[in-house]
Amino acid sequence: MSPAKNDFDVVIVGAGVAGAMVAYRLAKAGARVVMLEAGIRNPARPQIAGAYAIAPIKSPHSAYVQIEADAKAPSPDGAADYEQAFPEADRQYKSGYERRTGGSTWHWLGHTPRMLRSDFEMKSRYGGAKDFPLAMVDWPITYDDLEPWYCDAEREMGVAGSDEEWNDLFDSPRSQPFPMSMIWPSYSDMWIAEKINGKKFEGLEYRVRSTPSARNSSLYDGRPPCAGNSICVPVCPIGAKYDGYVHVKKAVDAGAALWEQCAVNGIDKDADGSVHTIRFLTYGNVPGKVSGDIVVIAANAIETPKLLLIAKLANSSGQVGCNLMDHLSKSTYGLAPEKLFPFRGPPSTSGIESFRDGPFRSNWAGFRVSLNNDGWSRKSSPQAQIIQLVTEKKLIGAELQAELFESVTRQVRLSCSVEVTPDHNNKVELSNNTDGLKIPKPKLTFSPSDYSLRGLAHATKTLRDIFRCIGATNIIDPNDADPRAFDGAGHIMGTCRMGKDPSQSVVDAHCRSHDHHNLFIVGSSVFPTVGSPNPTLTLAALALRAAQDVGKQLGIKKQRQTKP
Amino acid sequence: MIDDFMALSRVLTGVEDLDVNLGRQYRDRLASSPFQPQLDEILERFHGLKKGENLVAQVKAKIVEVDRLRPTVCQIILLWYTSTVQDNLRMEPPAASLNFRYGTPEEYFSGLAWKIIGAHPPGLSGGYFGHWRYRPDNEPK
Repeated sequence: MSPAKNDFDVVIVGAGVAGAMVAYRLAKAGARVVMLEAGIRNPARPQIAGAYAIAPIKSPHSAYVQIEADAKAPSPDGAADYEQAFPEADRQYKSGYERRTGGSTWHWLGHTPRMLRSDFEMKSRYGGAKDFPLAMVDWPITYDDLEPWYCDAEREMGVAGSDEEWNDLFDSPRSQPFPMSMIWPSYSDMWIAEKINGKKFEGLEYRVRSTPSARNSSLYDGRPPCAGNSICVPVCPIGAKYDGYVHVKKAVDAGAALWEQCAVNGIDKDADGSVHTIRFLTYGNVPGKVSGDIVVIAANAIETPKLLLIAKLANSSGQVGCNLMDHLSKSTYGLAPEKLFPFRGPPSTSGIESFRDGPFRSNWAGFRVSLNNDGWSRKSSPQAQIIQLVTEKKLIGAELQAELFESVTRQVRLSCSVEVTPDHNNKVELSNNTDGLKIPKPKLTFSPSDYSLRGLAHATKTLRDIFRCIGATNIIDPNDADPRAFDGAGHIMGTCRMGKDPSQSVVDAHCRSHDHHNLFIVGSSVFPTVGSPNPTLTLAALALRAAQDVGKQLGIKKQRQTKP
Repeated sequence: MIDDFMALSRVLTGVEDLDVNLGRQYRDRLASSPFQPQLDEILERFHGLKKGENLVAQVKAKIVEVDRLRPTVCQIILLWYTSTVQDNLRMEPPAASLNFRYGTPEEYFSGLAWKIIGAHPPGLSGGYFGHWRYRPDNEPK
């Protein structure tokens, strides 16, 4: 490593899952590392669960409301909290994030499907068709390049899954078994699987699989097995679900420094094009700075481009902030003919992967289907049903109980998560408005492509067909009202795309800036395309891979992969 | 006063073993809410009923059927079932806003609705790994 002319070997901006994993690996290998985190440290889990319990609206951020942090390091909770470039509902970006130590994994669901081999090769495989988006590209790495790092990330996070169900899905083999056996499917999952497995829709066969999850199915890494507390979003009250704070703590234990409530507002560029000095503001508006031989930006796919745009860095391609993506999500509701007992277990334990890939992707987007265990809670509150039964049907006592039991226990929600395509016009820019520290807020433009909307249409038809197969009644399909409407999936991706061509991308295949040799960017911002899986495992795998490259650049000879 | 409130609550919820400490908290929350005048009238009517003689039918006839009292009846049930107060209930027709006022975490985790549907309060399963694979242990008969 170089002589200590800078304060640290590595300065990492953002103490979420990506930044924390990089910090842990490098600190463990002997590097001097500091993590700068704009947010605060969360209180103990029972306090978070208690805050959620009494929150008037049960949104992902409701458990984390903290007035000063929300002003100084705002955590948007959805469309209403953003600076949106356009007011139309179908042009709003809808996913939020947590600026807290540990990041948004505090409130993630925990699902960790891998991307498929084809997801890395979209242009080669499906490009050229009339309806295929021109902006779809190949990644500069393949599934095989990332596969060992997927295994590494699964070990670090503690992923539970079924080898039998997931090995070689769409020609995407696993070289190592899951660290833990699968999270058990729910009673509802198994009942639905029995009804639909083997049946086909649009030529593709239904097969319900348990969803791999960074959620313990046994004691792992000092954390307990899942007890099915059902509030993974916004918090696992017992720490059975992995979150980024696991690796923040490991990094600190390995010697990394953690500076919280430090909102970065500048990154200096040296005459030779390198970057070393990070400037920040504390919540007391006190400026500070810290320098490192290598700088790693590990904020999310909105905050990372925001910082780069403020600092005017890494943008010779003009791609910083562009290609903002998410997954389009939509739910359909129905009543099963039998009691399936929702509101127990993790909110979702199984899904259908059949529609993630196939020749159809020349024409429309692939998607995942999730079977959910949370009844109709996203559509209407349990209170609404009670109000209706008492005020309209005038039910009380045993009659009320019986009616509630009969209807709620049959509630089913199916949902889809549809691939979004990169688009130069979907972007993060700097707003003229500022946050509580006078740092510009991000301003977002987002409108899904026709390719994605066609995928959404096929996905919602699929949900409808599954309800038909299981004999559901009282089906509520939001497509009836507005086929183009969608929800956010909480999967903020794109905006600093990875690529071989410096004129078309922000970072290279190792997450290193094309423009600045000692600047790395980790997180889902580097995804050139996104497929349809939840992104956290892929971003963790990429971060661990980048940590090795940072280490090499620092001169660290050997970095050790660790097992809990 | 609390005895009448508890007895009325048992009829409205259909649950016999209600916690009297929770009952005091819920009564106090109602007493400081816009539902207070109707609560007084409901308790007065309930006090005048002949206990033991098909009490549910009497409560229905003398209290639940009265349009101006029904929102408060619903509010009492909402408190026991979900620990929430919903001021919009007093609107005509009642608006099912998502904006409910909760009390304490302990009240939230004591909501009866979850047990009634064979589930558990969100955040407090009290169960073992994988229990969601089976029909609930506490499935109502």
